[in-house]
Amino acid sequence: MTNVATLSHSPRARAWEAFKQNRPSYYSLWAVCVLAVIALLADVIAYNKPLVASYQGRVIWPLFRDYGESWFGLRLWEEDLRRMDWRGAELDWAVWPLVRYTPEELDLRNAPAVGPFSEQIVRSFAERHFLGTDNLGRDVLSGLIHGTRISLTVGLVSVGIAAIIGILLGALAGYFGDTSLQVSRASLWLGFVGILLGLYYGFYLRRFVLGEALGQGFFPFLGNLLLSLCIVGGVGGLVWAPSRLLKRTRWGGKRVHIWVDLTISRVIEVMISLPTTLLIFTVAAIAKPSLFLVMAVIGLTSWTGIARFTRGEMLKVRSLEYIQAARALGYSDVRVMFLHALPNSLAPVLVSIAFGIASAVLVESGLSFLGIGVPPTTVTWGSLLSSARSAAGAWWLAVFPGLAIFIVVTLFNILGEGIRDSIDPRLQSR
Amino acid sequence: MGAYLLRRVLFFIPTLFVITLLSFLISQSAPGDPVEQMLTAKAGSGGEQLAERQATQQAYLDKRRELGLDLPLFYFAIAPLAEPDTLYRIPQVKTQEALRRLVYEFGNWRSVQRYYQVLQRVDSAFFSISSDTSWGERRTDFRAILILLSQEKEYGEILYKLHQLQNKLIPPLYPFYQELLAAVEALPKEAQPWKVYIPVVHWYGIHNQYHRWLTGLFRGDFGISYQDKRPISQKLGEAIRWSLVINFISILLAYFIAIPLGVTSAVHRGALRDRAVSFTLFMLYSLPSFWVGTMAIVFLCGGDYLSLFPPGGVQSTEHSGEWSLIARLGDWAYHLVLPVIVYTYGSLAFLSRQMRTALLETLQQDYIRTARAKGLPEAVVIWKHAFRNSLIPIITLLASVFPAMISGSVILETIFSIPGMGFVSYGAMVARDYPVIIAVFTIGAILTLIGILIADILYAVVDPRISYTKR
Repeated sequence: MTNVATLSHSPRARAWEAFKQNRPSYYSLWAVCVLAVIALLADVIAYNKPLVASYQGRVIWPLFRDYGESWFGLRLWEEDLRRMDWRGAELDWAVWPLVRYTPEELDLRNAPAVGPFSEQIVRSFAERHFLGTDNLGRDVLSGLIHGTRISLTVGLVSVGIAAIIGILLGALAGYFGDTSLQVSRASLWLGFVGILLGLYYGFYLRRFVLGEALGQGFFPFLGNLLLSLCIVGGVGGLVWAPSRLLKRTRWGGKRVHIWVDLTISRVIEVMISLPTTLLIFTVAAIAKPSLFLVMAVIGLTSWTGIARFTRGEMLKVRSLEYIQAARALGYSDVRVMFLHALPNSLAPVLVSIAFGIASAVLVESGLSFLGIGVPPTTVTWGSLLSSARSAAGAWWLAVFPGLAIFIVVTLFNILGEGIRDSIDPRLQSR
Repeated sequence: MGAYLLRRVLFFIPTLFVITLLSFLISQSAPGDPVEQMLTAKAGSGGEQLAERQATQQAYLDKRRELGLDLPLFYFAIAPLAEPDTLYRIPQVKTQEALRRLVYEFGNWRSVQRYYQVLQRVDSAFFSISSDTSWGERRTDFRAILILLSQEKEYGEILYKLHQLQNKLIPPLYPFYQELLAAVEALPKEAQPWKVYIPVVHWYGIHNQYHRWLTGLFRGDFGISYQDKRPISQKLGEAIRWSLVINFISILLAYFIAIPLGVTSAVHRGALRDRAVSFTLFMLYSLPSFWVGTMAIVFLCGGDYLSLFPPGGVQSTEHSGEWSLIARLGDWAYHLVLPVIVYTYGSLAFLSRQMRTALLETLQQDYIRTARAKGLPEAVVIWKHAFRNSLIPIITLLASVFPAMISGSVILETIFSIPGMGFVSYGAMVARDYPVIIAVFTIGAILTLIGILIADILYAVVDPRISYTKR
C-alpha cells in the first residue's frame, strides 16, 4: 500500500489508486482511449478527400460537405465536384488525412493484393498504401482504422445490452432472494395475467412490425421495441389495477412469496447451457446480415456472467446496515435497490464488462472472418483477415488485421485483470 | 448425493427441451420455402399448360406432405380470434404468410378468405383460356404479376399490383378481374379490427411439425440437406468423427500440458519462471485462434514462404486404405499436427491459468500449513495434499472447454479444410442450407449439455466436501 492509498478512505478511491499502481492495466486504459479516438475520428484519419482544400481559387471542406449530405440530407456538392477524383485533381493547396483512401474504395491499379513494400502505382509517396491492399485493391490501413470503429461499437453496444439485462436480473435476484418479495395473491395473479396479455399485444401482435424494424437498423428497431415495452407495461398495469380492490377479499389478500432468485437462477442456468457462440453463428447465418443483429445476439446471450456477479454482490450488500437503515426509513424497495444497494455492487461487474468486450470483439471478428454476420461490403478486421486466405503470399493481409484484433482483445483482457485485482483486496498484496 | 445426481439429470430434460425449442424456432425463421428448395421445378412459376401446372402443384403438395409441412407448427397456438385455426393448411408458404398479415391488419377472416378464393379462381381461369396465343406476352406478364400479388402482404402494394394487372388484362379475364377488385376493396370495408385483439388458444395435439421434428431427432433423423438432397444424419455422421478426434486429442493434450505448467507457476509464485509462464499464457490466451491459424497457413504451409506442413485437409490425395496402418496414421498425424496445435493452445492457456489460481488458493489453506508444520517434504505437501484438492475445479472446466471447442471448430475447420462438423456447417452457411445449420446447432448444443452434465456429475463424485442436501 502506498501513501496515497492510505490517505483516501473510500473503497472506490482506494480501488482507483490500486488500479493506477498496476502499470499494464493503467496504460491499457489509456490505449483503449486512444483506440476510441481513432474510432471516432476514423474519417479524419482515413478518407479519399482532403479535409480542406483550395480548388480553382475556392476553399472547400470536402469531408464536412459529405457529412452534411449523409447526416442531414443536404445537397452541398456541385455535380462536377461530387464526381471529382480529388487525389488526381490539381489543387492549389490541401490538408489531407493521413491515409488517402476510404476502406471500401477499389484501387484497381493496385489490385490484386499489393504489399506495403512492393512497387505501387501511385502518384506520390503520401498516396501509397502503407499497409498494402487486398484482393480488390482496397487499402488495408484505411480498413483497419475504420474497422476500429466497428469492433469497438460491437464491443460496447453488445456488452451494454448484456449489462442492462444482467444488472437488472442480477440485482432483482440478489436483492429479493426467495423470501423478501411479498405481494398479495390478487396482485400476483392479476400481474401475471396482465404481463401475458401485455406480451400478446406488445410483442406477439407486433412481431411482423418488429421483425421489419430489425432489418431497417438500430433506431427504428429501438423505437419499436420501446413502444412494445410501453404496451406491455400499460396493458399489464391496466389488468393489475383492480388488485387494489381484490386485496381486501380473503382470497386476494393472502400474502405470497415470489421466488425471484430461484426463477432467475434457473433462467441463468439454462442460458449457460446454451452454446452461445454456436447460437450466434446459427442466427447470423440464417438472418439477413446486419451489424446491429450481431450486436443484439451477442448482447442477448452474454449477460449471464454479469447477472451472476451482480447477484452475488447484492446478496452481500443487502445485509449491510445502511441498507437496513434505508429500509427502516421507509424507502421503497425500488429506491433502496437502485439508489443505495446497486451502486455499491457494480464494481465486479466492471470486470465482466471488460472481459465481455474482449470476447464480443473476438466473436464479431470471427463472424466477419467467416463472412457471415456483417454485410459483405463492410470492411472489418475479420473480413480483412479472411482475405488473406484467398490471396496467396499476402503476408500483410494475414499479419495486420489479426494484430489489430489481438491488440484490442489483449488490452481489454489486461484491463479486466487490472480492475479485478484492484477491487479485490485479497488479491491486492500479490 | 444420489438425490442430487438424480435432480441434476432431471434438470437436463427441461434444458434440452428449451434448446430443441430454440433450434426449432430458429429453423422456422429461416427465409424461403423449404418445399421449393427440395423440388427442382418451381411450383409457383413453372407450367404454361394446365396439365403441367397441375402436375407441378401436385408434386409440391406431395413433397409438402412428405416433409410434414402440412401439419400445424406446435402442440398449440395462440392466435387472434380473427385467425382461423386452419390457416396452416394453405400450401404456399409465402401466400400463407401474406394472408396471415392481411388477417392481422383487417381482422376479418371471411373477407380475406374470399380474396384468396378469388385469387385461385383467377389462376384457374387463366389456364382455361391459355390455348389461345394471340395475347402472347401480356398473358405471361399477367400470370407473373398474379403470383406476386398472391404473396403480397401490404394493402397498398396489393392495390398497386392490381393496377399493374389491369394494364395486362385480356378480355376473357375481365369479369374475374372485377371480382378480384371487389374482394380487395371489401377488405378495409369489412374490417373487424377488434377480432385481432382477442387472443385465443388453439389445441392441435401431437400431430405437429415440432413433435415430428423432435421424434425424428431422437431417431437420428435430422431431415434432408438442400444442397445434395442427402440425409443430414449421414452427412454429419461422416463429419463428426473428425471433429471428435481432433477435439479429443487437443483436450487431452491441453490438460496434460496445462496441469504441470500451472503447478510450476503456482509453486514458484512470483519467481521469474512464474512471471514468464504467466505472461506467455496471458498472451496465448488473447491470441485469436483464427489469426494464428491463418498465419500458420500463409507462412508454414506451402504458399510463398515455408512449406513445413500440408495446406489443409486430413490426408494426402493419394491416401488409400491399402496403405499399412503405420503409413496411414503417419499421414493423418502429418496433416493434423498444425490444426491440433492451434486447437490446443487457447484452452491450454486458459486451463493453466485456472490451475495456477486454484493451486494458489489451496496452498493458502490451513491444512497445508498443518502438513508443512508436521514436517512433510514439500513435494508431498504439494502433490498429495494441495494438488489433488485443486484439481477439482479444473476437471469441471471440461464443461466450458468442450463447448468452446465445438464452436471453435467452425472457424478452425474452415481454415484447415478439415471435413468435420464445423466445415460442413460453414459450407451450409455459405450455401444457405438451413436444415444442416440447424442440425449442427442442435447436435452441438446437445453435446454441450452432455459435457456440462458429465462435469457436474464428476464434480459431485470427486468432491466429498460439498453437501447436496441443501442448495
